[in-house]
Amino acid sequence: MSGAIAGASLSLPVAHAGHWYFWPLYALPLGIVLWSVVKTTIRERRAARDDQDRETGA
Amino acid sequence: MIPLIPVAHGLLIGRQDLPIPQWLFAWGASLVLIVSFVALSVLWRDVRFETDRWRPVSDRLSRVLVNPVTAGLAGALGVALLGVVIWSGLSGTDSPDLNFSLTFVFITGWLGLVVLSVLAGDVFRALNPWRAIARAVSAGFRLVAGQPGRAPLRYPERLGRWPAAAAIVGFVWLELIYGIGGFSSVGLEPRKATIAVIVYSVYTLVAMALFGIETWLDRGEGFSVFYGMFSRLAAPEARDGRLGLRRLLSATTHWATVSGSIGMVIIAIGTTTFDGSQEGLFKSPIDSLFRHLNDAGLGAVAAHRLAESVFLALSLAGVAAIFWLGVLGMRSVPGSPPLRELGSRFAHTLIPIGLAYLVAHYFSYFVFGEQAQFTYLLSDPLGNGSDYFGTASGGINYTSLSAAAVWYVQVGALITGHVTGLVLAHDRALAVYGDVRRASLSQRWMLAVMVAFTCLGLFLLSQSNV
Repeated sequence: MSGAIAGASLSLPVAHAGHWYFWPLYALPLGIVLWSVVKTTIRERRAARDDQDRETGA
Repeated sequence: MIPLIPVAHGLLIGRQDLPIPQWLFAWGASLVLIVSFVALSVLWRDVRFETDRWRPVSDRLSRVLVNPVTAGLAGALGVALLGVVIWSGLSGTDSPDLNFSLTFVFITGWLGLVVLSVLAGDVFRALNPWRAIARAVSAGFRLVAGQPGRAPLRYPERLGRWPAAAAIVGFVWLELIYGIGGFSSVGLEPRKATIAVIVYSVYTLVAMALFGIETWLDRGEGFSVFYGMFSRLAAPEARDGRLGLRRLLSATTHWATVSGSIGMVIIAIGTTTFDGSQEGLFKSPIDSLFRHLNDAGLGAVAAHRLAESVFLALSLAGVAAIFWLGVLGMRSVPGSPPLRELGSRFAHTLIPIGLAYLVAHYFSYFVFGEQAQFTYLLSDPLGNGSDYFGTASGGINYTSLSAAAVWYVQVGALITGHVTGLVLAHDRALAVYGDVRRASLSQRWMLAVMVAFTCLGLFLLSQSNV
């Protein structure tokens, strides 16, 4: 079979010295989404509380 | 000479020729999810997946595919394959890469049936050798006794699907931890794996005799529940002996009502996460824990297995934490049901993610493994030099997949799986909250969950193959 490695001993290319220090680049999108979700949740809760206060005051 | 099967999981070829850095794919995938979330909020305003819609296919097609003969043949095929696994495992070579049994159990069966289930529905139900044996015994009993046999015990409902979830964890533990660092270094030899197959077969047959065939298959038999879960993504389904098509994805919506279902779908993602981290991200901490345990007096093999088991448990806990944090966030939306109920109602949204993780992680492994399965392992199942079908001299063509092509498949699978999860979650949110505004508010948290799983998946893949 063309390209097959019949008979060859296979050394597994699973190097362990991974570029783990790139992880912040992978975490950044999650950070942005979480920041946005938490921020809007807090803003909406505050708005709901203000509405409630106004109704109570009125 | 015969080629060796790679025993490590995941990608087996280095990454190359990508036009942009790998981490930028995570940004792109996240952007796709954010755009999908906005589009769903604006355009998807009615519940679509909750109602059962099943339409029978033509009578002729149904009769050809679903009948007692095909059912009997499928069951017989399953039993025959189980027999070949046991025969080759016990009688064949001890060399794991040259014995039919290991590749068949851990690649062709384990991964191939997921693919079949997603494409054709619950195929494993027809092929399940334990079901076929139990039904044959049951039919024999009815013939002799003149009445159907009754299960002597009632299945404890509070166990839900936890026995099935435990079985899958056990299977993965056997594969990834018992046979640690390659099949030969610690000892998952074909014979030992086959003994595990025999023990599990006996356990399953006894459990079916005690609790009833269908009850055990639906709750306690790991592989039936695992493949049944993925088959819910498919359109084909047989009902009352008739083949039909249901709305794609819709069958997932009622899957997670039984306790333990969340556990099963988290296990599907968590075990793959562990497999992806074992030789990459977790390598160093596992080695460190191993040294501590070894220094504390534990034998080398036991220390290694314990260290790996700890990180398997951490992977499962991490995946569960991501999901439950998302559910906790959803609880902040007014009118939300209690936490456990909310989790149960959104658990099915993880099924496409489980599939995406499996495809992304095992795609190349499966393609290469099947080349071995259908060439030299098929013709020489015992590894003793026989050549039943004239394919014993075949081998694995490692150039059949380019590194870049594999990477694109992985990214595509992860994006498709997570967008599908987002669609299912949005549709369920409409049903739970009753209006688009609150549904969209709740789904911001599921968006975070999906982005988390996407970026984690891509990070792990980038780590496994540098």
